[in-house]
Amino acid sequence: MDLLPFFEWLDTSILADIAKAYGGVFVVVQTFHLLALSLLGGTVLVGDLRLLGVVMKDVPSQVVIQNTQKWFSVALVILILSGLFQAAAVAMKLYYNEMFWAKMTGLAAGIVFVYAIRRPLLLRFDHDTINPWALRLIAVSSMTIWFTVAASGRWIGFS
Amino acid sequence: MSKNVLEKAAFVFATVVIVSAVWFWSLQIESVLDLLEMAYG
Repeated sequence: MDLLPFFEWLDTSILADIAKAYGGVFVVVQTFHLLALSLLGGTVLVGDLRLLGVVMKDVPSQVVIQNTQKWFSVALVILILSGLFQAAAVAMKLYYNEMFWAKMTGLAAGIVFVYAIRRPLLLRFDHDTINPWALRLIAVSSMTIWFTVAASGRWIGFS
Repeated sequence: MSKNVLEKAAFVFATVVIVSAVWFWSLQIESVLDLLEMAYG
């Protein structure tokens, strides 16, 4: 599927006009993007490190996952919306940037992983009944995915 | 989906993610090292 028409549309959209013309608006949106990234990273770290038994050992892991999932979703929505706005400013540059596609691949993999596997397994079933190695692998792969998404996003600036 | 199916999916997905991430980041580090070698010898 060729996404070039979408990026060409984004490059000439009103979002791109605003992002290019008003640096102050761009910076404010970028601030929310980074705050949401911090929130997402925080929820991922707290949940996954609890699954690994590193932090908050006195709180059941199921409680930690239940409380962090809602904020994870909030952060993800803010990240996608603010990211779309920022991408509009440099849409064609991003289309030809390999690291941008690495980030998008990681993001897609992360969303599928969270909503199709991690969330159903960890919210529906008692963690004591889940294979401990499955819990450990979920935690490690979750941190790996979201680290890759964040770091490859930063790497776009260097590539 | 049943717990067993989700557990198996988690095993497969996690393995693919970890192997892919190790491969991906090793390529990035290799390219940075090549760049540093070109710059400083």
